[in-house]
Amino acid sequence: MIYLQPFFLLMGRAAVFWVGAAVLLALSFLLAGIGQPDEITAPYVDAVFLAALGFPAVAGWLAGEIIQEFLHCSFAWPLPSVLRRLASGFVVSGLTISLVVAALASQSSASSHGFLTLLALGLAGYGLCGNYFSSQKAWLGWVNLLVLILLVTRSRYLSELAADHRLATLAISLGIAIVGSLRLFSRSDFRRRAFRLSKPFPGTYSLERSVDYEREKRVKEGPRRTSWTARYLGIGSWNWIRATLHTHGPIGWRTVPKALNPLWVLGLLLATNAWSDKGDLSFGEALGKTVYGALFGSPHVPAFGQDSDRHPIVILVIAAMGAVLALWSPADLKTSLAYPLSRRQLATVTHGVGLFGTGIFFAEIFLVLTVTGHLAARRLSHPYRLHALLSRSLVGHRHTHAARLLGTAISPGGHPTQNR
Amino acid sequence: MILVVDPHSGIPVYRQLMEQIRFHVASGVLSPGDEIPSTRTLSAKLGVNPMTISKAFALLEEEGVLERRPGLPSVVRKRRDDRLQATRIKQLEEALRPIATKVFQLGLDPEEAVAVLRRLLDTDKR
Amino acid sequence: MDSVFETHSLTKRFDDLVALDKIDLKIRRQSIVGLLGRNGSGKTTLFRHLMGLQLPTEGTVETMGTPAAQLDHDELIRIGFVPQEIRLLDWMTVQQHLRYVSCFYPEWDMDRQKRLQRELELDPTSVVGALSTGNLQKLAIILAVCHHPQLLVLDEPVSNLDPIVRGRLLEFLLEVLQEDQATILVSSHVLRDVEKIVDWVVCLDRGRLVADEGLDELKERFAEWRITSRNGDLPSRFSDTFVLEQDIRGREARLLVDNAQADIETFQVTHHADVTTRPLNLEEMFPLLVSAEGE
Repeated sequence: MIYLQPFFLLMGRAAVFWVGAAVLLALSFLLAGIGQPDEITAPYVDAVFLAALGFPAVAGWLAGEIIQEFLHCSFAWPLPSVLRRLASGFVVSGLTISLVVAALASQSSASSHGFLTLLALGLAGYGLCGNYFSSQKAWLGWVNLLVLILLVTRSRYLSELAADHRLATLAISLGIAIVGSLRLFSRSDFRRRAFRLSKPFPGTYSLERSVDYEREKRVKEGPRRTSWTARYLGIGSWNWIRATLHTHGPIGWRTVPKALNPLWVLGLLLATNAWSDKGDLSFGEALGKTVYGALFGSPHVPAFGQDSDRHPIVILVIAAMGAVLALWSPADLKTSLAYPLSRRQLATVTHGVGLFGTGIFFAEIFLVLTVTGHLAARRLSHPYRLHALLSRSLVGHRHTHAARLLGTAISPGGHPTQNR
Repeated sequence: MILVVDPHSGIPVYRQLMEQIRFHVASGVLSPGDEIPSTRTLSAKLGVNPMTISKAFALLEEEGVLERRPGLPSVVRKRRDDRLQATRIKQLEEALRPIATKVFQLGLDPEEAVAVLRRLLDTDKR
Repeated sequence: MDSVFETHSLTKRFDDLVALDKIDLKIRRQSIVGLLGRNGSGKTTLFRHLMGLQLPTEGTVETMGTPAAQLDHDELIRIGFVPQEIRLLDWMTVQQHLRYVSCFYPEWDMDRQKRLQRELELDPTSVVGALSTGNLQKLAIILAVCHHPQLLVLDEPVSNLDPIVRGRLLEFLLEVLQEDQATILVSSHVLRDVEKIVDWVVCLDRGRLVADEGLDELKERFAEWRITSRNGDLPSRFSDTFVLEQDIRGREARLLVDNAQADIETFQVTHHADVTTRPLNLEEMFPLLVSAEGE
């Protein structure tokens, strides 16, 4: 029992209960909401599947966050058998939670899975989410996120897939559970982490720790390019903004993949949508239709015989995410250059950089959407409807008068097509 | 017996200890058969590394000043009177060496210096 | 195993910065070793290699007879480590934190813990996140010693402690040495403290080993010479190789010399001068150590 103490003592803090309770409640509400079948969501959602995955996933996430915060403490490294002890506690709690959830879920009449499958899925969710934020490699975090989003938005499809291939599901789920857990407790990862600062656990707010963490992160990243010397600084905000953008700002080819991250998610969603519902169309055609429907949403070209009203919302959400990222990312000038600025000037410069970055971000997104839209339109031999793209991505309504005029003006071959 | 060491003087602590113990033995503060406090006690009291103290004791044993006994504190050895006298003279010589240099630096005649010394000793006697 | 920490040709490179350059060290049991060096000389890097936190670019590191990268349960229960950047679980109280760490060790000396809490003046009910840096250091030290480690490694443990507490801690370290027959490795900038308790000195300068000897031997390595000329002024500069620093004013001079090569008799004869020597303490000789090899 004393072997498991390190893990459970670590979990015994107020923040775990607050955050845990909040997230659990939110998940319950979400599932309750999703679980109401209606024509729109029914084909996509399997609430029991999600519950079997979701509750252990939340628990795994909590445990993973706490553990990784602990592993970042400098006193953790010299503790004997620390990884083994934490792993045992992690595994024990994961098993317990998954067992309970699977038992409850398998009682539900809506479930088409057996107890074992649900258990395996629960373990997979637990292991996967335990690892999610703790990964040292950024791309792995994105993979985890993509998998999560897939699971959530295509739960019915995956659930049916799982029901059809039970053995494979069991094997893969257990595989994910084991690999996820192993990654959390790898010694070389620990070594890399042990003396680096980490964000504080979400349920607490430690001012000092956050500030230290942010500062160290920026210091480690260093300037993106050679430093901007004082010689190039003129007077006036624009020069300062240029200087900050040059050192840290979102300019340059390296930032393009970062700006496009939200679009991968969108792309994956559209692709799986196309794959799962393609009927007797080829994948390319189905994808083209989906993309077209998502971007231009013409009722004359129904995506799949249903209202594709939801898709602009997806675009909006993705775009909003990106905007938040762009606006909130700190942009700093080297301290030695920034000192002549007053705090207000510094704030102006930072905001200016943020706005500039957001602008670039939107421009990049728009470029990608335009290219994709053209390709989809070509595939389907349908018109490329720029104003629809503009109105949907920027405004979210079917169209606005101004967007239509603008689109008509810019559109190659000007196609003042009728909308609804 | 009072022992004082200055870890910051530059003179290794073991040598300071040795000099002081030798002096105490020569001046009679420590008589033959007297026990010296243990390494542990001295280390705690003086705040110095016990290995330093062990080193001093070991060297003093080599010189024949102390006798170490396993499990018991070290004792002062009995020495022949002529040896004791020789030790005293040696210690005085060490103490006077820097004085001799000073005499040179002040540009004084050796005879004048000896006269000063004599005067001081006479004052003390009284 | 007669050495608790051994390195052979230990080299660590970060891109083109050489943090450690072919270090050969062998720390024996039951001694207090002072690790000295300027900032950036590689002290913390060396400690990290000792604990297996960083892996060498070349060479080997062995702690308690095992390669440092593979330190496991059996070795870790006998090691105590107080790092320079102390990060603990901010949300626990001191008491809870101590209890938490005690779960990891088969033997935990509660008496020692209570005694240290009292002597170092640490309030058990205060929350760790609210502790000052000095108190954090105290807690980190207590966490590292209550399981009676045989190897205690402290990286700048006293920098934030007031003189009274410092003194008590140093006394305590001496006690640990004797009671636990431990080896203690301390790095500190406060040379006066180091001088009081260490018996072995290891000095690093820009990644290279410039001293690895007993404190007493080290003290005999250098000396200060006060010179008075017997006839007329002294030369404006002494070119003897053993003279490391010189300050000449007319008939008098003050030199810092390397004792190993110095020959006082010949010097007195050659320059018709009288020399009084004085040994240097650690603080005075430190600048000589770190520049002697570097130039």
